[in-house]
Amino acid sequence: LFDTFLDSVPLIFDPYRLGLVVVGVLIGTVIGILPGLGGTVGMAVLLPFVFGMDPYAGVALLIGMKVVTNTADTFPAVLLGVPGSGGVQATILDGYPMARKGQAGRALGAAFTSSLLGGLIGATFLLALLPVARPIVMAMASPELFMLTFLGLTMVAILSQGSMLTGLLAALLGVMIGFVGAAPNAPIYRYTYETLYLYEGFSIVVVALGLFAVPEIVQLLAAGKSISKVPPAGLTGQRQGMLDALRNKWLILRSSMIGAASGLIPGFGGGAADWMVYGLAKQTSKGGRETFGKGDVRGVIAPDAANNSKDGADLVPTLLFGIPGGASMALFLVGLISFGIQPGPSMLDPERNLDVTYVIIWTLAIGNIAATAICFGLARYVARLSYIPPATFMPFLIVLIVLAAYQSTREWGDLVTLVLFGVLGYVMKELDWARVPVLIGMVLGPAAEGFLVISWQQYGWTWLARPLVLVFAVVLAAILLSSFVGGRRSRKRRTAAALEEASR
Amino acid sequence: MRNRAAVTKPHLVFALLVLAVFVWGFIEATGFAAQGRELPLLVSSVGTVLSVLLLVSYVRRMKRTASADAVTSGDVREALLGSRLSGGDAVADSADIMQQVEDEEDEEIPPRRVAIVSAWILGYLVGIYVLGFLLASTIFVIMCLRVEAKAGWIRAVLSGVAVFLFVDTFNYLLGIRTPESVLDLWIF
Repeated sequence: LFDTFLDSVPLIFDPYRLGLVVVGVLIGTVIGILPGLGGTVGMAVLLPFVFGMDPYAGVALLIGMKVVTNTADTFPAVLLGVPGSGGVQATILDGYPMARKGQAGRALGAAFTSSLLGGLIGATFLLALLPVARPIVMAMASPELFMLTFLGLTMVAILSQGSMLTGLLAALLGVMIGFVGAAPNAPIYRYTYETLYLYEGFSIVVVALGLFAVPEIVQLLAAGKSISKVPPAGLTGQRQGMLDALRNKWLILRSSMIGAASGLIPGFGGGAADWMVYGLAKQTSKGGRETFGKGDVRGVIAPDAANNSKDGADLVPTLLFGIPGGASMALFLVGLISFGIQPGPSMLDPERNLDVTYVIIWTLAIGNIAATAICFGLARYVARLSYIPPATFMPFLIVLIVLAAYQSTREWGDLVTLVLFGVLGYVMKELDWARVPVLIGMVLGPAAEGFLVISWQQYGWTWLARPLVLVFAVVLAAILLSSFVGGRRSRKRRTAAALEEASR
Repeated sequence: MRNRAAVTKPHLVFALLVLAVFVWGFIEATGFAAQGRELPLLVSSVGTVLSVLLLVSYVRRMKRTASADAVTSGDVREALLGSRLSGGDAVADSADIMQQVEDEEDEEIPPRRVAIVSAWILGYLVGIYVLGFLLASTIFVIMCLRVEAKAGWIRAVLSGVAVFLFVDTFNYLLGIRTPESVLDLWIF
């Protein structure tokens, strides 16, 4: 294995292939910065161009593009509060408040550094795990996957401690929204009213754009004030952000490992991992309960590290079993097959395709480094957006958001959905209802339903006694208990502080 | 800035709407086939119960706020009376408080502005429906920059043209689709 690993070095460091990595990274950067366009769009765009290329070159282009989208989509998330893609929603919670405090540069610096480290950890994880991944993936059946998604849903309890009741209701609303469309395990459509657009359910990207981007745009344009409330001193904070990330190396390591582990499980989805690491970071970071959501740099570091690390692990089920972890990996699979490579055990066979596997790992590492360098270079200029009066650039952003929303299913229903969820997001924001749980519920609710029904059909009650299910149940109980106890302590501290303030 | 903890009528109306959604979701779910209805029934019934709890807590908090307001206004009357009797400090304090409230109210976004911005966005969508994405986007950017950003005609028109070229280029390079319009259907 090691010999093949070394043999793969000249394959990727060939100037032509290295150039293709850079081309992929540049295209991915543009796609990542534009809200709503993610790795899937990039794959779809590049796929026609890779037919006829040699496998190493094609892989370099596709993976180079894919890795950077998860780094570049931090720009709109931090600067505009707009989720560039599904995987960056948790970054907004602290990244955008940082930009409003004039710390856009610091937030971006921290995000890019943690993305780089997360990406490298993900690549290393892939390298280390390939030989032993098969039994681990096979151990994850529906009951374990249900417990994992349920674990993600409990993050609602942590993320909405301001008002647990409204947080839970928002999450249940999200689950209800997720029910719209085809039922996962029964031949029926739910809440569709014979409307063709609703048959596939609402797109998470359009809902996220509506809930987060539209209210922010309306408020900024109506108020006529720039995003940042303080003078442009924050542009110089990139170095500070980098140092913040390096200081939180254990947080990055932990978040990356969770991200990578989630990527390993086909169909689990990286979005769940982002929320999970965000919730855990809030739970376990010193003073996190008070500062997270108000512009704590650790709230940017954790989800960004997880988001990038899962790219490496995402490839494990794709390469070893031919099971794509998501839409972009499905397209990547099409690319591999077009090169004449059949995913499966051959990807670990030194006589057959192991060198391609190693080229993918190298591309992940090189792509991440190139992506970070490009984003750091651009940050200084892009961060200026947060100091410009909104009326001068919001019209462009509105055009982009409408265009991005329309790419979801390319039907007018996307735009209607955008407006409806925009109104809902605005009302929720005005009334102080947390909007994040809606997304968590929407992403994880239907997945949990699918896994639960299969578990029930296959194992009856016995699924509850499976060893891994019990382990996850203990973790779940520990998180809920510590959230409850921590919440009480936090409330006591706040009350004591308020009393002390009043007595002065 | 608003008092974030206060419960207002819009809170109550929104909670009622949320309750209505869950009740409606429950009624609809009873008509679904087996294996597709269990979770919708469970989620909508839990949502209904929680919505009722929220409504009850909102009504209670509104009542508490109303009685607290009555006490506070009594205090203010007493303070103002005291200031008339003793003069000086109390008047100065209340003036400071008024100034602070006025400053905080300045941060509120006027509903008229919100309505205007919403009208821009809806107008843009109607424009897309009638004229098509390219044309509507170009006109929207030009007009929005002219009216909202008070930009000069040259800058506004150049920006509009830039948007046109950007969308058209992306349309060509990335195969990005744009919504069909009445004009498209009429011409082609």
